[in-house]
Amino acid sequence: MTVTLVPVLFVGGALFATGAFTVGYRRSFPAALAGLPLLLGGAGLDLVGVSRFATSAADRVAGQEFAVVLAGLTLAAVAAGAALARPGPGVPEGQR
Amino acid sequence: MDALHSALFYAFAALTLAGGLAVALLAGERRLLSLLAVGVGLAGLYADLSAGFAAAAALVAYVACAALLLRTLRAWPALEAAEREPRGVLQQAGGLLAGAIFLVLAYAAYRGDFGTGFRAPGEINTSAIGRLLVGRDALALEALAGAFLAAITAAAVTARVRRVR
Repeated sequence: MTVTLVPVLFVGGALFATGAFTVGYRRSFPAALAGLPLLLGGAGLDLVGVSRFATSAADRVAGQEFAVVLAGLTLAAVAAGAALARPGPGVPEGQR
Repeated sequence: MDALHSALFYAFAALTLAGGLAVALLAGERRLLSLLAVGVGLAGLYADLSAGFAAAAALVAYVACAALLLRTLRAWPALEAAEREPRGVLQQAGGLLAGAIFLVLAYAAYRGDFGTGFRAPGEINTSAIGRLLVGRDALALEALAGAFLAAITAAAVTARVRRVR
């Protein structure tokens, strides 16, 4: 079964929707935060797929370029979210 | 794509989607192991699509994300307590919205009129990506770097304010 753009977009869309489900359905903040890499990973996969199978010769690298940027954005967002998830003061680590 | 690349693509796709479902449904450290599996699967998909640099970047980012979330989970396990409460209307609406998003994206993927051309990946490499990032798309990269800096500064200030109080 040859891989074309359609399976790539389907997998990317499924990963994006799984991330959206995680962010929307989970109640705890760390669990919802874990959905963010799925969201951005799905978007990045679609970008790479379009870059790989694009018929236009004008801009073949841009998809991969923005997939790299999305990977960095994922890490920054999770780092910021993990810092913001820190609970209030007065309770030591491990007991909150 | 030849048969080996196709088989690898579907294997990595299965790993990625199974890991994604596990991230959505499991709790605790098993969720973070699943996130690692998603990172490995996604890096494999990128590599299979001839995007080696993006694969390396994604793998590093996912391992770091899992480590950060593991640190948060171990330091403040009570943050997970909210999972034991029943889902409210907002959570159920969020789940339904995610299902609707999937249906729309799947419909767009199968009904879209995409070109079927194929180009050999000879000119796509790390240096080409680097030239674009610091050349044509330098302004976008600077804007993104500013957003990163603002996010990290806000996170650091928030953590510091909470510690001082």
